[in-house]
Amino acid sequence: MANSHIQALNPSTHKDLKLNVDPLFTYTKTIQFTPLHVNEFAPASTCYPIYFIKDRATGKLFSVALFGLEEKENLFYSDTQWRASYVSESMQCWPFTMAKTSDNQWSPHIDTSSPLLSNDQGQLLYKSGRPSETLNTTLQRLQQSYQQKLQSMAFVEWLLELKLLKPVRLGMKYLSGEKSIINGMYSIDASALQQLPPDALSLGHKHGYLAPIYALLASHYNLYDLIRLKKTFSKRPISSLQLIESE
Amino acid sequence: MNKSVNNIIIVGGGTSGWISAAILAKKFASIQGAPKVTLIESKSVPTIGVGEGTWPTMRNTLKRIGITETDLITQCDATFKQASKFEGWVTGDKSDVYFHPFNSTKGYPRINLANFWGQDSEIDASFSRAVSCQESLCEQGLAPKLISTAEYKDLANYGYHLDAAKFASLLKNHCLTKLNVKHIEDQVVDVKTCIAGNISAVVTQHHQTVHGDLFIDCSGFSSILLGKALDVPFISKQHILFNDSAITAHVPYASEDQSIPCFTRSSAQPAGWIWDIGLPHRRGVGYVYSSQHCSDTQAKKQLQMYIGTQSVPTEFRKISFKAGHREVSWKNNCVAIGLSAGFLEPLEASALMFVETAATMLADQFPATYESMPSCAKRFNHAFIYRWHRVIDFLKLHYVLSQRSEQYWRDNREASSIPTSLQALLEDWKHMPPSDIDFASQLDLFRAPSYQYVLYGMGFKTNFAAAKHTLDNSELANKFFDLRQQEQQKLSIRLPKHRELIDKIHQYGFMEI
Repeated sequence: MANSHIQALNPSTHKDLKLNVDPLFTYTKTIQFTPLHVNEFAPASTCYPIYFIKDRATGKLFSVALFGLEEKENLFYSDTQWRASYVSESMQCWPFTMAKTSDNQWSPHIDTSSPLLSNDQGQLLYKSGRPSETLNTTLQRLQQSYQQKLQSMAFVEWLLELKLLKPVRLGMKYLSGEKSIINGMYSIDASALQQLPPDALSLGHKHGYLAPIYALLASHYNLYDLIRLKKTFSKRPISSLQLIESE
Repeated sequence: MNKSVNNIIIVGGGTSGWISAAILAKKFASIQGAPKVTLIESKSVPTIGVGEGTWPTMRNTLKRIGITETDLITQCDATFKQASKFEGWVTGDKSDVYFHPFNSTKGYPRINLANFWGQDSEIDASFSRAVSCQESLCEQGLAPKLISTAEYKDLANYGYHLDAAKFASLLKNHCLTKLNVKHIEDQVVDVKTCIAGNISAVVTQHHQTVHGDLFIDCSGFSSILLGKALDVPFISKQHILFNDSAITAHVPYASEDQSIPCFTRSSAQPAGWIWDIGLPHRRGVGYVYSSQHCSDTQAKKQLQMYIGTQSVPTEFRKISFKAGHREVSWKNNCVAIGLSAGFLEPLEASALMFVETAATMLADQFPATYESMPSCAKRFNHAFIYRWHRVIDFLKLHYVLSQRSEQYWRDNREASSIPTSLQALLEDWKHMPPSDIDFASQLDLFRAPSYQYVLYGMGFKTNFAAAKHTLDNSELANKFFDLRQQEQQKLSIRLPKHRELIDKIHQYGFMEI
C-alpha cells in the first residue's frame, strides 16, 4: 500500500489503540465514491447510483456507490445525519480494511490516521493481547467482505469477457449556465445484455449475476436523488443532468 | 476472363507479409466463400528488422486485426513514441533542436495556428511548443496515457517503438492461431507465369507448386515476384535522397530503471543522421549515411562517438539499400507490399505505415474477379505513385532547410537534387504558411501540420506580415492557444513517467474499455 497510514493490524503495535464510533461517517466527507461489493448491489440500489470506476494505480475496474457529482463531493454526508438508509460494508468496517501486505497477501489493516482512533478515549482494540469483542466482529466482517471482494472481481471479469461494460458520460448543467462532463465511470450495457446468447445468460444466472446486474441498472434512477440533494444542499446547484451517448 | 479471386498467396514473412496476411484474413474472416490467405516464408531468409518505429496509424491497424495493446507492449518490447526530436539539423550547434510531435497543431483542421504564431512575437518562439503540448510532455519524460486509459486510446497522440523481429512473430502467431492463415515454410525457387502475364503459381523447394489467383510480393528488397518475375523496373531516387547505408547497434541502459525517452532522437551527422530509439531493456541506434560521402569505417566511428564510452554497444550490423520504388506496385495479378515495392530512408518511420496503408487499401478494394483487377490495380498504382512522390518531397525538405557546411549537406541543397514540386511549394510557403490547400488530396499522408513543424522548427521564413489579411478569427486562435496551455498543465500533473507506465502494463495490462 502506498499510503503509510494503512498498517497491517498487529496486537503488539496497536495494543494501546482505542476505537470510537462515528455515526456521521465523517471520513467520507470529501469522498465521491465508496467501494461496493456485488452482494451489496441490491440493498445499495435503494439509495445510490452504482457504477464501475478504474483503480488509478492498476487500471482495474471495481464497483462503487456514487455519492457526489463532482470531485470530492459527498451529498449524503451532513453534520447531523447520514442521508441514506443503507451504509456499505466498507464504511461500517472503517478504519479497518483488507489490504495487501508486502508479500502480496491480503490481511486486515488499519488506517492509523483515522480520528476514530486514539490512545485516550474509546474502546481498547485489544484486551491483554486478545481482540476485543467489537474488533472480533469487525474482523469477521472483513473476512466475509474479502470473500465478497473476490466474487466481485470474478463478476467484473465475467462482464468484461462478455463485453457487457461500457463507458458512461454524464453532462451536467449548472444554474449559472456553466457546463461540465462527468467522465471515468462505466456501466452495464443494457442493449448488449439483451443480445446475450441463452447459454451465457443461463451461466450468469447460475453464478447469481443477473440480480446484481438488474439492481445496478435500476440504481441509476437514484441520480434523480443526487440531483435533488445537489439542488438543495450544494453551493453550486445544477439545473440538469443528462446521459451523453458514447461517441 | 471472369474468374473469381479465391486464393491469395503471400510470398515473404517479415512484418510486411504478416501485417498484410492479418489485414486480409481479418477482413475476410466473417464472409462466407471469401478468399483464403496462404503465406509462404523461407526459414533461411533473414528479415531486415529495421523500422523499429511506427506511426499512430499502427494503433488502428492492430485494433482492426484483433491484437491487444497489452500483447503488443509485453511481447514486442514496445514503448510509446510521441514525437521525433531533431538535433543539429540546422547548424549543428548544441542549441539546434526542434520537435516534430504526433499531435496536430492545436485546433487543426478548424484553424491554422501557424498564421497567428507568425504574427505574434509574444507567443513562444518555438513553433512546436506554441501550438502543441507534446514537446513539453516529451521533455518531462511522460507517457502519452494512463494505466486506466482504454487500450489504443490516448491523452496525447502516439505510435510505438518496438523490436521488429518480435513484432513479426506476434503477428505470425496471431495469423496462425486466430485468423486461419495457411502457412508454408519453404523457399520459393521459381515463379510460373501464363501467357497473359499473370503469375499462375510459385514453385517451392520442398513442397509442391503453390497455385494462386492473387500474389502478394513481400519478399523484401529482392522483389522476386514483381521485380524479378514480372520485370517491373526500379525507379531510383538516390539523386534526391543520398543515403544508401546504415550501421545499427544495440546499446544497453546504464541501469534497469533508467528513463525511456518517449520520442525518437534523430541527430544530424557529417554524412547523414543517427536514430536513437528507447525500448524497455536497450536502445536501438543506427547511423544512416551516404556511401558517396562517408566510408563504412568512418560511419562506424561516428556511431561509436555518438554512443560514447559509457556503454558497450552490441550487435553491430551493416545494411545497404537503394532509395526508390518500383514503377508500379501492382502489375497483373501481383501486388508488392513493403520493401519489394520500394524503400526510402527511415527518417520519418514511414515504412511500416506504407505497409499498413497498402494492405488496408488492398483489403478494402479487393478485386472479386480477374475482370476487376485492372481497375483495382490502376487505382492502387495511382495512389502509391502519388504517395511515393509526396513522401520523397517531405523527406527531402529536412535536408534542403539545413545550413550545415559539410559536403553531404551542401550537395543536398543543390537545386538539381531538389524535386521541382518541392521547389514550387517552398516558393509558395515564403508568402503563406502550409495549409490544407496544399494537401487537398485524401491520399496525402503528411499534411500541413507536419510540414509546419519541420519548416518552422528549422527556421524557415514565411513573410507572415504580408499574410496578415488571412487572419480572420483571432478570437478562436486565442481560445486554442489557451486550450493548449491548459492541456499542458493538466497532463503534466496527470501523466505518469514513460517507464512507470510500461512497467504497469507488464503488471496489469490495459482494459479494452
